[in-house]
Amino acid sequence: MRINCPLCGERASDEFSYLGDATPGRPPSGASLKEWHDYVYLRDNPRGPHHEYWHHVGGCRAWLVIHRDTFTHEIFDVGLACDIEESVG
Amino acid sequence: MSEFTYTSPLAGVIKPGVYGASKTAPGVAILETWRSLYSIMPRNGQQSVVSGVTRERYGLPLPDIGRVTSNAEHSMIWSGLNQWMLAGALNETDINFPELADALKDMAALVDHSHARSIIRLSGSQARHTLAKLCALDTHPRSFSSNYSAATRMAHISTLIHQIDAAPLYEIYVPRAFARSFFSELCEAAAEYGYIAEPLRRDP
Repeated sequence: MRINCPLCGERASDEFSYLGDATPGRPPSGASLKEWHDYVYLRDNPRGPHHEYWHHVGGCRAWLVIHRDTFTHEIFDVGLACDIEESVG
Repeated sequence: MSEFTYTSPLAGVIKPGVYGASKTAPGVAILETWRSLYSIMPRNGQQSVVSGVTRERYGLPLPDIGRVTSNAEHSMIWSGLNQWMLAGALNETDINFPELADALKDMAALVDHSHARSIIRLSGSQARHTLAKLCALDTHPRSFSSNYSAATRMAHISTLIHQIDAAPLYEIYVPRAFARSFFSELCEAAAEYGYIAEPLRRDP
């Protein structure tokens, strides 16, 4: 599998580390214990399209958000996490 | 500048000499070198201001992704997301760190890496083929040439490659704790072409 890093271009996947599910959103500070429990501990395990954090640890060290299919391994989109976080905020 | 003396991690690892298959016409030269080295990470929104400062002081604006700006002595090497490496002259301590830190105060994070990296100069007619055995980067002149940089893995080690000349001449920055592993892997890759090995000539 190769990942197209927005900065470095196409690189072998062994340059990257998977760093978790990118879908959970941090609850507001006044959220209930149940909401925090969900956010901290509970993860879906989808068979299909998924947003994930990856780190280009063997290259430019950027955190990435990768939209990919966990079943076919097809990658639809790769973006810099900092850009995506900023657009959300 | 520093009261600490740089000690090469490759000291005593290899004697200067010619090794490998072809001792009469070695295709690769592997030279250890040293440079003052500083990482520069501009704070949010400060990149163009920082670039102005480095342009004014060294004639080196911050280059684009995967590129290097250089003059006769210094290089400004793109090394990662929002990070550049300012490399000093060959085997000289010639960058005034406190002055630079003062000039970039509140604009950028500046870290001294001068003793943290081992630098290997790779040249010779077979240098590119040697590199091809170590990393998956396309180093053909159509996609990688002078004043290009890339951060990639070689021998499972995170490295920074700076192509200095089309001849070709590369400099490879390796975390110093991994210098021996990298050096032995590089020599292994170069052996079929024959190689000249030259450890650091003097401690700067």
